[in-house]
Amino acid sequence: MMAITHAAIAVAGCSLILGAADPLVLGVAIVGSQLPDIDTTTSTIGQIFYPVAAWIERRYPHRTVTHSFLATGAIAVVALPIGYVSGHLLAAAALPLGHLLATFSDCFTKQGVQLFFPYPAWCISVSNPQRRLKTGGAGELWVLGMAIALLVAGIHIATGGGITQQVSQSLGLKDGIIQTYNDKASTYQVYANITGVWASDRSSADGKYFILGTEGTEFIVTDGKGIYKTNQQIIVSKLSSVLGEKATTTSKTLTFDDENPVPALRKLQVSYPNAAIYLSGAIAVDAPEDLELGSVNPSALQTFSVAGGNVTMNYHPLGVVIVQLADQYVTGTVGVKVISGRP
Amino acid sequence: MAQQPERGDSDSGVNPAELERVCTVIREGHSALVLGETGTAIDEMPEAIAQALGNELDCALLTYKGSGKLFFQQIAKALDIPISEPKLDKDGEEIGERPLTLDQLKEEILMNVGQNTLLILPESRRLTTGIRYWLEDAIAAGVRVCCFASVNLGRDIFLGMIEVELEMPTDAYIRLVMGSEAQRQGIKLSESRLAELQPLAGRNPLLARKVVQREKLGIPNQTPEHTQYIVIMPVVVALLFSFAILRFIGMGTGNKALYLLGGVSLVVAMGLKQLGQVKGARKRLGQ
Repeated sequence: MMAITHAAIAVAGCSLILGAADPLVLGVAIVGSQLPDIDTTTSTIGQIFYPVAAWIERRYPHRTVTHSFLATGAIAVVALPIGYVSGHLLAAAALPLGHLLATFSDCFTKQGVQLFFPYPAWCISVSNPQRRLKTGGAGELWVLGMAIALLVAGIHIATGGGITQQVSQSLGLKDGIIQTYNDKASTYQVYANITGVWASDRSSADGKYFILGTEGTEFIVTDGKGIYKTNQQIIVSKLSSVLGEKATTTSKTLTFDDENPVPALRKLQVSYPNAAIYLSGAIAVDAPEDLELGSVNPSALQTFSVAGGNVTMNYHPLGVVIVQLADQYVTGTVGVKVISGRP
Repeated sequence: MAQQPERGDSDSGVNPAELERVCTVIREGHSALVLGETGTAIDEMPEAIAQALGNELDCALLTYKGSGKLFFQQIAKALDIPISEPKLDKDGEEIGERPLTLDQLKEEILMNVGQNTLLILPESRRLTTGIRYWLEDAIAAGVRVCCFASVNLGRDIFLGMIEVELEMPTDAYIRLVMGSEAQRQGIKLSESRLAELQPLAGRNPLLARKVVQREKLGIPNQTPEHTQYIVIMPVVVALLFSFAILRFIGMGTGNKALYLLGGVSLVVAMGLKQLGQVKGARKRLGQ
């Protein structure tokens, strides 16, 4: 096969198998794909390493010793430890993988390759030589075209979090989206593209929502106007995740012992000026009758509820808490979720 | 004239160790069936055996060419057995000689051969049923037979013979054959070109020479004729089918995406397997 076909197949295969779109990984895969042809001085890599190529071609037929699993193994033995030590294991893995894919693809040519060298059997794809590829022929050009198409798909899939994530996103599978959220939420803003209806009036709820957190297999989301829980306030028919800007999510706890919570809450607000901060947990208040509950949105999740002297919060915004608990003395512990990089 | 390439210590393509192995089998009183691909040392081995054992045994080396009578006459000549008898007139006077009939030849040879006789028969697959049945009687009479074939035909006399499989020549030997043939043909082939052409010959010296001859004539060399190959399409299909494992992993771990991906991959693999069965005409018109 031509060098460019080897390169295209190796890069496409590496991006799909390793789930990589990193130029270093793909570049190493290209190098690996050229290594088999070091057994002839007529190839590009053979001309670069002419003495090595000349030495090999004097001793071995083309497509034998360098086109074998033995050679792939040898490359892996050298590359993987170096990659492990240098912290570029994926790139190191791309070298033997690129070699393997290029070697294996040569099985589809008319002559085949000695995959099991030193066992002297030529591995070919099909016994009918008319169905095998001629180097530089029309069949190979088709293979080249398909490899490039696969490469584009591979890079698209790799940048989208891998093939399973792409399936999850395409089909709106919740467990895949939850995995994306779990992987990325600590460092990125994660949004949900929701297709569905409001539970209250069944009007369309389609839109992009910021994901605040999860409860079981459901998401707590907000559109800036209210906070909602999927399949409670919003009946979801399809949900996919979208990464936003970089953001840092941290969790804290605040404990109050019969004290006014406002100073501590304001201190928190000042500490994170550009953060979205939400409180969850239950506390006891001394004057529940004085609590300002505000207007209740029937379509939104109830994030603040009072029962007797106890207040329960569930992703309740910090700014609202400061107003509502301004004149209260409270006891208890609440969890704080700080998303630095307000959506 | 170009110098013949060497294989091992011999002047021909015959491996001395293999020659000795066959000779040992024959010396021990057995009949041997030497197996090897056409174009390899099997073409030179019969002569080498005849030379090696010529001093110890009465050897007859001959290839069946289509005439039974000629075949037996050649055996008889090689073993110094008369192939004619006196021709008598009506008075019983000898007036010349007349050749023995085929049946008489067979009988005559059988009467004159024994444990010191070795029949070396290249191209044994050509032997007719009649000759093979006669050889049965000859073997029963103590004659040692050394047959040569590409595969064991697996019937009558061949079943009782000790098989000796010849090894394929090394790549280095094939390169030497190609270089020698190029020299003989008066063309210069670089090491690079020889390395490029060598896969077409596999490890068969006959094909190695043929590849060089085609090169000289400018006939495109693309498709190998050798038989040292493995068809790996079943491996490719098996690899595709192995994606079905993802389905079970997805099922076990509750990962729906993996479950779906595995299922789709399995169906795609099955589809590709069926597409691989698409066949065109297998024979040419008149084939």
